[in-house]
Amino acid sequence: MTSFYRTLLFIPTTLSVVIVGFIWRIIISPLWGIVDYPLLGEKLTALPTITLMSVWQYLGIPMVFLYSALLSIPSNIIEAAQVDGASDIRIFFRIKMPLIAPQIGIITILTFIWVFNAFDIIYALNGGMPGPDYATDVLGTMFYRTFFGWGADLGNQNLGAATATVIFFIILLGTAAYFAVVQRRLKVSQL
Amino acid sequence: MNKDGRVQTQSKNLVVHVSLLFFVLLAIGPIFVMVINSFKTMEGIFTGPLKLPSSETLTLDGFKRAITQGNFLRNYANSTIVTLGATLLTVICSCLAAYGITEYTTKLSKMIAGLFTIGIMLPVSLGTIVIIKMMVWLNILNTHISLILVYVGIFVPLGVILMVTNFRTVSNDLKEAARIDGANEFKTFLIVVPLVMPGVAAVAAITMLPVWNDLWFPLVLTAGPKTQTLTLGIQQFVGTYNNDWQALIASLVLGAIPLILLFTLFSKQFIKGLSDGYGK
Repeated sequence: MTSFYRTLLFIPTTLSVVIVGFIWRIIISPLWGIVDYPLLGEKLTALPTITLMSVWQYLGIPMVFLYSALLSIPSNIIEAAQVDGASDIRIFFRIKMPLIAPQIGIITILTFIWVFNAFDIIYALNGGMPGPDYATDVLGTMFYRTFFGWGADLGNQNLGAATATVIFFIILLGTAAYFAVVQRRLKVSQL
Repeated sequence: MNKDGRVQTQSKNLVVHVSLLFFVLLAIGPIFVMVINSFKTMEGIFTGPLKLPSSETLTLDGFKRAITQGNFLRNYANSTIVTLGATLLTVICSCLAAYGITEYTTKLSKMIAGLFTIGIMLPVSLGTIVIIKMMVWLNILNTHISLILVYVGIFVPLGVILMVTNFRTVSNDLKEAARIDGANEFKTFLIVVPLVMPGVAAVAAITMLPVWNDLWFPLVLTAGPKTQTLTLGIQQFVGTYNNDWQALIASLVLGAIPLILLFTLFSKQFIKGLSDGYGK
């Protein structure tokens, strides 16, 4: 049963961004789909909508990762807690979560790094065009536009390289902050 | 406590199943809607998008047009070549590197392992500009080789770290015995490899998924119709034929099927690969 759910829940992750973008674009389009409001066309809702689409697609990876982390918790700890009469919710929050905290941290920082380059799905939806009033223009798409040019703007290699460097430094900052803050705390609570 | 425990377990089970089913519906629902719509006529798609194709609306026209218009079969072949090539090379390089790191422990090997760890975190797409220049200089822009090389560069660090943990589990006695029997280092390596096959499967699984689905590097390096990958081809198809919904949806379904099939068949290896890879 577990493998049934696990496999099905992972299938969105096996799709490519083109497919995901298109499917969801149809589903939430005012003409064809289930929502009346043009979510992808409005400045305020465009980016959160794309974010949610990306979440829908990539849920599988942390799921699989944390699933195996949970499996590696020795069962005698759980059983001891159950014998002591702890409810499941309590077991989850007090025992399981602290034990998988390192893995949660790792997957968080990795997701941060990957998503920061989230060019694919925005390109698949908007095709190089910055979205409604530049609402969906992220650093990734800006990098693409500055390097290759778009429409009348010619590409400028130096500007593109500069954009890439900025992205790199932001990721570096994020990673350094993660290592400074989280790893130090981890040293304290080593089992 | 027995009777109470059992009643609690039953209702808890029900809640768990219902919530999981809800999420599965959320995950599979859109895909299912796509698939049933790929078999419908244009009229069927627009009048009843959520209905199953009836005898009136059932048709394979979408699929026919998706395959004949555009570069479809060529794209399939390109994607397969690139994915298989990249996976093969990544596996080979990761195994060799990981064996070297675990066998010959020197300060240098520790540094190299550290470099690979950093390599996992660094997004290679930032160096696209330099990569393009290198490909032009090597005269391999717009070929399969350029894509394969880039993907190997991206996924070898992860593969190495994965294989290192696997190689560490091989006992030294086996290797010593092989060496005493006169095997040179490479033969010893070949003897060890069958023992780490699960790791190899994991590395292969974890490389195939992103390489097949990648949009950025095919767009940048091999945008020509002769070397387009499937993902890029679908993207262009969606952009070009904006009104032919049947062919559009059919092409999306055709694009999704290979990986979904591959994944359901090898789901154990995929999941093991992903979880082992990032769990350190």
